[in-house]
Amino acid sequence: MQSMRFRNQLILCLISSTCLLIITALASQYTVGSMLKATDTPFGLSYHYLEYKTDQSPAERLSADQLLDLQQDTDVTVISLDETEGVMGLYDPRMYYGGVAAAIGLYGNYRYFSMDDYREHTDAYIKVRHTADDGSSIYIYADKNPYVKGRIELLQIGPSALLYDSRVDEIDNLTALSNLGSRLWLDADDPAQLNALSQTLEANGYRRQPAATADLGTWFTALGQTFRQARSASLLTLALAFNLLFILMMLVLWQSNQKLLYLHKQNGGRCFSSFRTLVWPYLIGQLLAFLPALAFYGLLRQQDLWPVFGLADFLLVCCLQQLAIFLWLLLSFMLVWKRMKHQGAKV
Amino acid sequence: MFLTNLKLGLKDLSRMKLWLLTLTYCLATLCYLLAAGLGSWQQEVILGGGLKVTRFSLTPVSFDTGVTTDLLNQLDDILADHAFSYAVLDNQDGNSTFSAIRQDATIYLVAGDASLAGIKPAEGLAGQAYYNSAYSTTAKNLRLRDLTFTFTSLPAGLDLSTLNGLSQTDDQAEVYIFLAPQQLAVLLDKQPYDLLAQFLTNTRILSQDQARVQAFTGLGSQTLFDISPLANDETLFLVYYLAPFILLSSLLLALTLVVLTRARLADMLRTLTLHYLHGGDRLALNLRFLPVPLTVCLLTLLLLSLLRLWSYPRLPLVTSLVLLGFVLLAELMVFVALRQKSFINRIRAEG
Amino acid sequence: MKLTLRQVSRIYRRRHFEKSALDKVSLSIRSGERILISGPSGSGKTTLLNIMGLIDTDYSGLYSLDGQDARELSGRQRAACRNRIFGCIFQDYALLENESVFENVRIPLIYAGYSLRDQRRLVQAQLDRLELGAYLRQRPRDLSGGQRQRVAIARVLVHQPAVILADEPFSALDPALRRDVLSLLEQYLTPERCLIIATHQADSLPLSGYRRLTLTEGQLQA
Repeated sequence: MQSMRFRNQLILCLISSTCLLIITALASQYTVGSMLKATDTPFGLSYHYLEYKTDQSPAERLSADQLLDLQQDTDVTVISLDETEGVMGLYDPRMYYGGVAAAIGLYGNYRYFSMDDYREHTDAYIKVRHTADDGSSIYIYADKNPYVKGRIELLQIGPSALLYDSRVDEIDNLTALSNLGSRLWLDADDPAQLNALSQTLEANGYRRQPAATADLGTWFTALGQTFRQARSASLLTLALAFNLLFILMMLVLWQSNQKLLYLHKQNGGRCFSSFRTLVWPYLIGQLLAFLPALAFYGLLRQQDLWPVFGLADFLLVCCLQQLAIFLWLLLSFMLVWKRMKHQGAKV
Repeated sequence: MFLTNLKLGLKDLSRMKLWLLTLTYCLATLCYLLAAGLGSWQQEVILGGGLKVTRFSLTPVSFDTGVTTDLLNQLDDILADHAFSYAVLDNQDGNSTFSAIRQDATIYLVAGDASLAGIKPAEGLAGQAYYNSAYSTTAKNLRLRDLTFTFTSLPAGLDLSTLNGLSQTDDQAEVYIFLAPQQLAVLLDKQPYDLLAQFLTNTRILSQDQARVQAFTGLGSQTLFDISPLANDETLFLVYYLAPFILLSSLLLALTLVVLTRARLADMLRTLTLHYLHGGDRLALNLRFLPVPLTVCLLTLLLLSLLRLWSYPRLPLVTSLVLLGFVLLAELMVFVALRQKSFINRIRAEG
Repeated sequence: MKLTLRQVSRIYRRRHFEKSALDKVSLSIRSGERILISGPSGSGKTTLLNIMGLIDTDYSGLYSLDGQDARELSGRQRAACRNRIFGCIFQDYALLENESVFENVRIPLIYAGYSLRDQRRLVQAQLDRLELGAYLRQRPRDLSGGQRQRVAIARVLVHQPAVILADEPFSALDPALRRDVLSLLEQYLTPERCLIIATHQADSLPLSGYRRLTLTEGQLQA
């Protein structure tokens, strides 16, 4: 038993809840993405990074040539660290750490590892200075006349550089080292590219270490940092505020239809049975709201704008929001029903 | 009468505090997002002439700084079409290469299709140099190395403000040199690549011309420097992410407003009926609803002030427009609702 | 004040439904008259009062006030007439339950342009006359049925309209209160003012000196 007015109101609420669903999905994806970006990863790697460790002796470990195919693996970054020796190796053909070098100017005084360095196993290195003149000294001119003949110093970095590690004095060309370190960090734009390298490492005595993002404390810190970015804070809090508006909207919906609720009650309806009778068409509509949300997901995925959430994550967020919408609907109904019992409906 | 209705409307506000606060928050956030989105939109889309362009990063991989004529010719060819680049020079250190220009002037060297940087009109600029009002000269020509440019004051219609987001100030002497094809190679031949590096990092190539993009990234061939395309997610983010978010949020806000207004009208039907019967006309009844959107506007302005967001570019303009739209929409809805015959019918039914 | 209705008809139309509420009603009312319109429920009494009170303008025929065609009046003029000429009393009192008695009674004074101070003075005086002076700040829901009806009457009388339109004013009252209310209304009458009562309970009221009209299925019989 539904009036035309009530049905129209339900349609308005349905459109609103569909909007709310997509808004929440967009906002949560953006927030999670921002949190992942804000997560403090080793050497400032992206959240895709993988960390490996081995207890093998240096002689037993793989060499860079055994791990990497220099023709194929051009979109990865590999950092190797031998804690006991204090040696770090770097393989970075995608110039992950090289891009900022262009900002210094005065070309010819320093450079970054080139593909030729990797291919020709050049004994090139980045010198690590443990005291910087000031915190901003990331790149310092290379000493082009090093003491050891045949070695090439590319540039120097200070403690504020992403690659800085207090245990190492220089960062070597990984392909020039005889073997990989006991700890490895891998990164790539496309996580799929890491799979082959992961398999090789796991087959050769390396164990995968838990990522920094697995730690709950890290997430809270990241959330805090994310909320300092106005845009992600706006998107998420707007989604939350819209949930609040939706609750108010639901309250208004039921309050303005107290007459209808009263009629149901007078004719034997109980709280839940009346709720079911009145809202079942809405619930079907609410399920259909998944369709536009999924279409949106597909579109963004196609444009490569949905890198954080997979389909399962997306559906999980949607289901949670749908559940919340259902709860808001039910709770507001129960509230109005209860108040009607105490005060009597304004018929 | 009008004042009394406004006062009564203010009294009604106390019954909808939570609505007001939530609406306020949503409006303030939307204004901020819209301002931020518009800023990025202007930067990415309007400055790019509405075209999707690819940008690049440069990493030096050699100590060698010698630039070959061949490389410069290749760059000239790349910049001949579907591409644009520029370099900014501060001439204060008396850069000998450009000594023909006053020492206190800032020099903008522009190459390629200026329309890609939103410079309008872009036609007929090549091979010419312009000075702004702070740069006084009577020279008709400007000579740089082996190149000669006609030297005139900036034409009135030439919009250069979008070039690398420059704010044209009248007290800063500026020179804009638009290089014709092959002039870049002549200008930079056998020079250290410091200046060339600026051109390389500032290059924008039309994304649809992938052959040109690849030719550009292959320029250094990893002997002097490595050029990598930068991921250009901002435009996509704006078009596919932020714009739908803002649109859906606005729709949700409008729907909320519809439901709220209808509910208020229903709640107040008896009150409005009595006022109507005793001489209230529609204008007076409309006025009773005015305090709601006005209060939301005031609270939004207050919230934005508290958050110290006023200095944010475009926010005052966006906020004014959004709030004006909000007030108009709210009043329009009340006006339409009160004009509907059903309102009179309901008065009859109630009466 | 002279109210004239000539061949006035009113048809309610919905999508697949049409009902004639008034059928060619002609009537003339002069100042000082007391009119009793009786008829069963649904006979068109409320419709007639709504047209006379300038609430409903969707009729055919002619309705004039002192010779001025009501349909030629602008929205603002009609609002002014509703304020200065007509006063309406309803069966259910039509009170704002959540507002004070003062807020209820002062409504016509708002639109007549009185200052708040004058509104207070006039409302207090009217309530005193109706023995409700002590209830100025009370809410109607805290009052008895008789007091509520008096508040409704106070609201009509406070601005001294020329025509009182009372639609079923007695139906919710017991016989003693009916007489009370009727006498209040009659006390107010002068040769310049007129009272029009529409009711289906005409027989149970001590009405003398009234011009009696009967509405049956939208048709008026004198």
